Amino acid sequence: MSTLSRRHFMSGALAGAGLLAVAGRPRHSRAAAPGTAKNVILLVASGGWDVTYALDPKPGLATVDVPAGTLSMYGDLPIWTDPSRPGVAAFFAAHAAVTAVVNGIYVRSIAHPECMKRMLTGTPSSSNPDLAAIAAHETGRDLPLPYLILGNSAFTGPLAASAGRAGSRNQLVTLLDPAQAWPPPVGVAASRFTPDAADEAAIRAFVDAGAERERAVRGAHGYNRRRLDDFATSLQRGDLLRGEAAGFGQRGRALSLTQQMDLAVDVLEQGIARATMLDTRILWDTHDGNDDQNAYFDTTFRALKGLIDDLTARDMLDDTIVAVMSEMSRTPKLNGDAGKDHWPVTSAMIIGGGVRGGRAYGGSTDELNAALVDLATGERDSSAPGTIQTDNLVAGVLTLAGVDPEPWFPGVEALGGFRV
Amino acid sequence: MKRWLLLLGGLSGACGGGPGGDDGPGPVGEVIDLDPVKHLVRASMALRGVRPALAEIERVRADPGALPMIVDGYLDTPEFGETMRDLHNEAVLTRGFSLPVLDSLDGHTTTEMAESLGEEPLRLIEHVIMSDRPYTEIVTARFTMADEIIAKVYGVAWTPGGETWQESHYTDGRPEAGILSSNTFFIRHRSAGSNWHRGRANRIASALLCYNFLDRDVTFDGSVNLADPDAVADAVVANPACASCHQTLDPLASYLWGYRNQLNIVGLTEYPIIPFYVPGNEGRWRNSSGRPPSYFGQAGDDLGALAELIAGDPRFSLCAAQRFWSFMAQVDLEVVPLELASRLQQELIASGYSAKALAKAVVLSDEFKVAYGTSDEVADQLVGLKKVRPEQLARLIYDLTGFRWRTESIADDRGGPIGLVELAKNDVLGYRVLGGGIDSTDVVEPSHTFNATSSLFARGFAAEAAGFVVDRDFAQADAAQRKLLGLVSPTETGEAAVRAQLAWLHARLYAESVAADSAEVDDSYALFAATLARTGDPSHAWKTTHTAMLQDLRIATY
Repeated sequence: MSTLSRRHFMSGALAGAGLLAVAGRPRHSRAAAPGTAKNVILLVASGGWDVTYALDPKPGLATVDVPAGTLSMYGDLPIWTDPSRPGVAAFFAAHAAVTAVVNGIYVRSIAHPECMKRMLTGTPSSSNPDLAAIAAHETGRDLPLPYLILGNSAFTGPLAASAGRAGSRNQLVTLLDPAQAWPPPVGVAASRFTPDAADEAAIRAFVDAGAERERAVRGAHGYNRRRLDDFATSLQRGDLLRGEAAGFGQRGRALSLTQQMDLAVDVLEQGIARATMLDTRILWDTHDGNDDQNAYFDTTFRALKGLIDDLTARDMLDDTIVAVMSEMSRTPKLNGDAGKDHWPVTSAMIIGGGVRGGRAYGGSTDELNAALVDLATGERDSSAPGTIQTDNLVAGVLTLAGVDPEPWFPGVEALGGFRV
Repeated sequence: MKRWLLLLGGLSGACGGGPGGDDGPGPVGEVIDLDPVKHLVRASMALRGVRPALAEIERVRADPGALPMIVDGYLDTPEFGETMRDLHNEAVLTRGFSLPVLDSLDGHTTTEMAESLGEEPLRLIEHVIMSDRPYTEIVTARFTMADEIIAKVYGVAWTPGGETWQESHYTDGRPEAGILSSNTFFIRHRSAGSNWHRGRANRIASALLCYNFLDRDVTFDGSVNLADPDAVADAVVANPACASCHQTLDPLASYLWGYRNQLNIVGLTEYPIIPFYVPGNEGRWRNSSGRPPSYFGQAGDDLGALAELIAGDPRFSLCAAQRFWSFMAQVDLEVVPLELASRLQQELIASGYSAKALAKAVVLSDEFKVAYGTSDEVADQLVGLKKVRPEQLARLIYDLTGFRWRTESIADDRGGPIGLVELAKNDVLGYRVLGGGIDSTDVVEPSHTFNATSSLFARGFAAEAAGFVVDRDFAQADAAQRKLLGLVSPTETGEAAVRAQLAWLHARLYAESVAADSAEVDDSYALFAATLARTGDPSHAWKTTHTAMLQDLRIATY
């Protein structure tokens, strides 16, 4: 993407939308200081992970059934590890210093969709945007695709214009690159018309003129004006995205976690997106056979190590936050099917730039209930008025990403302590 | 076309009438309505996803009072039936659900499987509505709907040579209760064993009553050991913090014990699947929650009784009104004004529960025909531009050009080839979610605005359709058989002829009555002429012109 195209982009619809405040910002500001805008990678383990497998060790308690393992300390960070899931130990051995674990997050529900929207948005409404959508909008709205959704669950709410999905088979690339467009059905002659550059310019002029006429009549105010702004912006974002088609790889692949990670880092590095949402592609909902979590943790942490290695190698880690979440955890005790059911208290990991890593924040009781926490420090505090709620967590991550959470979470105290 | 709007605490109570009285705040702006022709276009798009016929436009232009009669005609079209399925899928969320392709399916593709199985409850709803049965039958009908694949997979009757979709019946002893008897609904919305069908009960309440138990914060009493099933069972009855929800949710779930918790999809080896409803299990609530089936305190024995209770619940008709308005007006379900929803509810009830009457009331309401507001205060939440959904765009483009954007893949997906895919209506290879639609699993709320991917989808669709329709039309010697280019020959480039053709295109594509020398046609002619001058190829110039016109805001919104 050329600087010229960026300037042209900004001088068009976005300027009309009053978004010039972000013009001129480098696409990728390296060595960003804490509090400045950062990329966000949101990795979701859908289905509910069992935090006792790694993040919230509960050894020697009659109240909690735990897997095989030992307590390993990485700095001040206690992690439950076992040779049967070496990916966990390998990850923390390499990256504990930039990893903060937050335990005892009270989700206030035990149904998957409800918990998912609460964890990701910090609110009980699916009409609200998730933390990555907010970060993308606030710090990357001048980019071609501020929020690239590669996983499944994501919430964009009123920020939908800034988001886009690659599709379950990466079909976005078939719209970006004519060479990868889906072929017509067998026996049907191709009728595709591929406008050349001059055609595209003429078509754009026609469409822009139509939109401006509509703006003059129906689009001067309110909802209509916002939709017309989005319409104009979407055209320009689409153009910029086409210029980055090569970054999206090949059509037709159901993106594995590692493929999502590769693509995510690419688009962040190239300034296509500010935030991405990924999914582990594992269903963690182990109502029976809870020991499947062992392999899930191993697989996920292996991939996660690769992601952080990659970000480090590309000198991007300081400018990027990786938030790893699951919408819920599992009950402390095994059920009759050797599984564990839904549990409303879970854990998350925050990794990357500006993170005060190497330790855990928050905490849970011996019954795996959320402990009382001083939100300013993230320390357990029996005199504190409450536990970590999802809005505290999301507001804290937003702060780390360089976003003032107050307009999004008025009066909510952002979880602190894990910021350098 | 003007209606005053006052700031009196909400749009719903403020529309209509004249300037405010002495004791209220003064007018802060105006609501401007669509003109009758544009209102016709919006009604046609909302109900069918296609443009009005040119003759209908002329009728309304001559007599705006003709609109209701034209709308009546729309309600009997197959496109309205499709719209009803689209609308109700946002409630039942079954579209796209499928099962593996097994040998017994004789080579069906996974796309065919999904377009069959995922539509079972939606086809039932469509059938009830299109055959003018009371809307309550979506839960009380004593049949399901089956096509050939459903017949094979679920083991229900289907007669070859008849209609593709036919009324059919489960024979496993389940009560017949409309979509409450749907295998697809309950396989798609499975129950974890320890959940005791509560999730399904909430899905029913959410879909049919617009009542979501999970909207409330769940406050867990720390004194309850949630890991102990016996303690939990006691708490949901005796602990006030738990019982406030569970005392209604659990008895609702008790109706559902006849259904298996879930289907072992990985272990499927043959069709039909095992009976998914086991009458002998209906009483298992006694060994679980211990709460007998009841509907918010009203007793009823089985699914049939539940269906009658739902159908008679005022929340059912109110929810229908909310859903119809939410879908057609493109506002969130939660913010549909209660006064408006109540008015639409009364229309539904007064019509004998005619969903067609409800849909008609929606599109003919004053609130539906708003075009814009004249101040930010008035216009802030005034949805005066409605975005075309991917499914609507597919119908619109097909109606205008005869083009369906499709691909075909032999790639394996769940045991069989993906097969023939209509890209605007598909999530596996297609662009439905990228275009702002839902996939019914991870994306369950549509987007009514534009983003980079919806733009790329619309632009790609326009270019493909333009290439198709120009080649197709110019291959037709008989101009009367052409879809869009009936007024010019393939080599005709004279300005007068081209302008006349463009004026006709403005009428067909945009429902605009413009003269050949109008400013509107000046724009499209300039595009055509410049492209012709550059390429020397009339076909290329027409394709460029069509590509532009088919992605214009006048196509993307209504």
